[in-house]
Amino acid sequence: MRKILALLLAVMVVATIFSGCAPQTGSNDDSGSGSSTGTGTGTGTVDTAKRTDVKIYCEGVWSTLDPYGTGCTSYTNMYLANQMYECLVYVNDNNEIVPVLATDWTVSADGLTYTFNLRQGVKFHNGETLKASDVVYSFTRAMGEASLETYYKPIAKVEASGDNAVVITLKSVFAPFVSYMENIPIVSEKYATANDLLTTECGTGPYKLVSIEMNTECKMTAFDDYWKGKASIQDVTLKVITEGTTAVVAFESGDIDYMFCYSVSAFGPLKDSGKYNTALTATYHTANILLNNKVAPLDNKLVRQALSYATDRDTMIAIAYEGLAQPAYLMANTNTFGVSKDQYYNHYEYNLDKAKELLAQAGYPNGLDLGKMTVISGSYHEKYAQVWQQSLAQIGVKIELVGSESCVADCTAHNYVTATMGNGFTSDFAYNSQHYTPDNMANYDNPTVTDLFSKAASELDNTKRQDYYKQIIDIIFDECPNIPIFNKQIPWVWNKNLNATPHLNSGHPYYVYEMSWN
Amino acid sequence: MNVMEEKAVRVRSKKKSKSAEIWKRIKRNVGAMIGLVIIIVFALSAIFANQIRPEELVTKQDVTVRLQGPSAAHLFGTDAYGRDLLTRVLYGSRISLTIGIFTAGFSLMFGGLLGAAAAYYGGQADNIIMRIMDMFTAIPGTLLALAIVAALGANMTNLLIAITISSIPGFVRLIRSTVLTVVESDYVEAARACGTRDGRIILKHILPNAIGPIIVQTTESISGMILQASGLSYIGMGVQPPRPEWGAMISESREFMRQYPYLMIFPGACIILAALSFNLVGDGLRDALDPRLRD
Amino acid sequence: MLRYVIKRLLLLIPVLLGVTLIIFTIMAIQPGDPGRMILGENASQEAVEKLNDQLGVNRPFVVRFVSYLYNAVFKLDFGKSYRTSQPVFNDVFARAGTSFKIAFNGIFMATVVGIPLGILSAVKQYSAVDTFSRVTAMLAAAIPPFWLGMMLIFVFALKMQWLPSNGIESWKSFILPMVTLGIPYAGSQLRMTRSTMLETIRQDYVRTAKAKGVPQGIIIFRHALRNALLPIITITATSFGGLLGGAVITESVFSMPGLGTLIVTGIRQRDTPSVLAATIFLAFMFGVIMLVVDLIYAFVDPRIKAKYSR
Repeated sequence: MRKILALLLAVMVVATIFSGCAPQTGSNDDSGSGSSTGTGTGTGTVDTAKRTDVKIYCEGVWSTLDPYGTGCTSYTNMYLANQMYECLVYVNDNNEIVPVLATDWTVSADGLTYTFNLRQGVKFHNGETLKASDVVYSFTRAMGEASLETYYKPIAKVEASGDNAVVITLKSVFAPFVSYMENIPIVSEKYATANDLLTTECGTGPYKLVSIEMNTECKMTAFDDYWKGKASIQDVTLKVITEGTTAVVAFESGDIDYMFCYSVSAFGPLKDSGKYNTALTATYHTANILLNNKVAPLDNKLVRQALSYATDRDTMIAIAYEGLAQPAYLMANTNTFGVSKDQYYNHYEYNLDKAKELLAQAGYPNGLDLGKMTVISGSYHEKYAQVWQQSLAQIGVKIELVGSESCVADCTAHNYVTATMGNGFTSDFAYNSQHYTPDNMANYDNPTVTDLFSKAASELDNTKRQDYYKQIIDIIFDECPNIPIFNKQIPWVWNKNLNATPHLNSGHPYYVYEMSWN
Repeated sequence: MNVMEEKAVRVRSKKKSKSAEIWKRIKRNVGAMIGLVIIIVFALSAIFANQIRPEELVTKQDVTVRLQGPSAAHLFGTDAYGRDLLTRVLYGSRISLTIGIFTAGFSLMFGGLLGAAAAYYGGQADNIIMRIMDMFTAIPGTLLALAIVAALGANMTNLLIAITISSIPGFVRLIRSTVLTVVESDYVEAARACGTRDGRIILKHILPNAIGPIIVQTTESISGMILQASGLSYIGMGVQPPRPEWGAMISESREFMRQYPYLMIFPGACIILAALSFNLVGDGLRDALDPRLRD
Repeated sequence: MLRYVIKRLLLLIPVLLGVTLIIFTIMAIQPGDPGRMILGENASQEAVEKLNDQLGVNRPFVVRFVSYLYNAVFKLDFGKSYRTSQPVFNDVFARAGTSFKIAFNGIFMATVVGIPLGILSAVKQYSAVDTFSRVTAMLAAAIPPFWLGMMLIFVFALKMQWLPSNGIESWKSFILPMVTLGIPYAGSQLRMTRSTMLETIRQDYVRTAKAKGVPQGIIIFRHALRNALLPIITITATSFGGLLGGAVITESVFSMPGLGTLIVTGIRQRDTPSVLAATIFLAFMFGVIMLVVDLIYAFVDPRIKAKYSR
């Protein structure tokens, strides 16, 4: 008996030691307000002195810190990069281009050569000063990364002109080019050639990396020599909480100061309680239903229009997004250059009778079976898909919902009949050509539209461009290659005593530099 | 009646009284009877669901009544789509019971064949089969089932297949050890020594004695499979919406649990009751079939 | 003895090979390609193809499998995760600690609660205590862990605000997951202990001891428990091994980054190297745990020790 007890004791001791040796992730951060025991009241008035730290919620784990590597366009990774790296310019919420690392720029007469003048005296986190060679190096690295391709595709070459100017030559005229520059971060060439950027960084941004545990927490601290002046908030902690409801619990108990309310249904009660600051920002994102235009009977325009009439956006928004979204009729909205206000209305108001009529016209008076609908599983897409399924059932159209992890891959490979999808857009309709020119997800191919898009891309006169886009949009509304559903709004909640500004762009939703405590 | 006929009658009534005896013992076990009643209730509601509530109510959405608590019109309340929760929970019993019983049945069948083969042929065959089973056991069951569902596509049929595959090694081990124990026992040796044929030995001696523990384990594994199915559906790798699987319903209710806890409580209670009832019955069977309790 | 240990470790190799083959096959059946998953919808098809070629996913199955084995066995190179571009074992080791803690805590609680109650139940068979324990145990085993986890979060993290609801920061974060896993397993431990104890109690030597007038306490602890302990240890260790990776749903409810979540995310994102590395690690750990259990058997029971030393 004693032998057994001794052995058990040994096992327990070993196990305890083992657990103790496992990587701790800052278990000493119970200092400061909002400790992890959840004793905060959520109003942030625990400390009497003004706080200098902030805890921000992140909805998923990080995979890399490398702004030019795999995964650099994933939102969660971008939240970190946004605080530590900067680009040549920045596009604000009013669609204006704001100079950042570039102070001004000129375009040649033929529209192919852009010269950017760099800001003087900007320091990197390693103490080096920003030079044109750093910019050239950053662009070269970026142009080797496939996920950034949309942004550097128009570029033919990038050269330094002295130490303070960079010359970028395009392959062909591309009007929105400068705004695309907000997506290429600038890194110190000296640092990047000697160190790996996967787990370390060296940007010009207001915050430096202190530590990162990819699956749980990232800590940053203010960069003293930031060119705009040191940040108001000294320490930033980003915490990963993958469960939406758990995140809300953490926020209410004071564990988190600033949060994107991933669990949309929790927003209403949080807002009504009056204890927090809240905001609803629009996004450049459209949830939509894809129709495979080359698969019968979806190749018949009447069928697609019928399905559009059977789309009850109001119910979908109520159920899938708790009413916190705006109905969308195009893949972009009136915030985008090229979409005029008088064009942007629902051409297909929810009307089941009209839908049935069109179906009969198309040759399906008794309804039809559209097979499987590929749905992005575990998301709000699943919800509006169920609503759509119900509406379709009422006009005799049958679909079966299949959740898929590879929805994006399937859609890109046209391996679907109908599917749910979410796509971003920008402040310029040129970006939307990817939805309507060949090899788009909806498998839509209309030579007129393709031609109009290329004409618009090489046109520098904005009035003429606007007109091209107007023509395209008229055709799109008539042809219904897909069914846009809604533009979701992001619900933000944050501590009552914290000043913060959420932004429109899903990839750059917040900058800690702009935050401060009362 | 002559002596022979008397003996025959006595033998027959002895046999009959054996199963009657077992049934009597089960009846005495309150827990097992409660479990049996619950199973019957679930089974009846699964079979006669159409009579109780029309099937279209399962998917009938009504935004105007969404997220309402239990009321006269909706005894269990409504969910986020305005669907009647009672109907969905009711039809959910179909899915859960089907999964539980079919997976247990198939696992038993395939696992039983493999286990019996391993025990019977022994030697190399036994070795190979058990090594292969070791490989499957080394992968955590939930993860194996998950991977299979991800590979084949998430729907109820594939969920059945996945859970069956991940449960087979357990049954192989069970059948094999049960058969081995019985095969090596004294009365089988005695029968062999008497010159009884193999087939007769299997039928008259091995099977009746092996079947007890097998039945008990199978019944109790049903509850494990119901839990596993609901767990997989909870993370979205199981039955697809809008089908009313209890685990999937709990998953949907996750974000509403603070203001509308009833959405989580009703399906949760059903899973617990279903799993519990099979446990109770299995436990009662074990006690009833336990030869040692005869003294 | 040492020979036995080495023999067992060697026997692990075919198991690990088998596990690798099984997972490899399952991941290969899965539709979809990692290139697209990584680059997202905006990348061009050529870029995706290029990445796929780089990752080597378009080669025939046998080529991929053999090359993976070759690299793993001879160069100890298990590849880089498609998602993070870092060597796979970085993430595996980072998360192993969390998984260990979760599994250990769960089994610890299950054992501390289940075994004593099981012994009590066996000793006082058919009494009220026995019935109550058995029913509670069955009830506990019937509760779905994800449901229990959510209810615990709701009550203790949200309403009472006593405990954190997520993450792995402090030891307090591990309490709710411990209870979530501990309660269902306590139920199984209880029933298992009870039935094993009942078996041992009926053995002849116990009856003899009783007949000799030995006090009941000594019978239970010296004789019965000692022999019942061995199967209990086996089951406990097996459950621990299973929980290392099997606690995936608990990990997801409490947002704890463990091995289960790594595998699930890997499966979802077609990150075959990560899934393989994590599964092989788990299988290896499982094998080691079983070996340790058998060694404990040998340590405790001299008959078995003799058998192994032959």
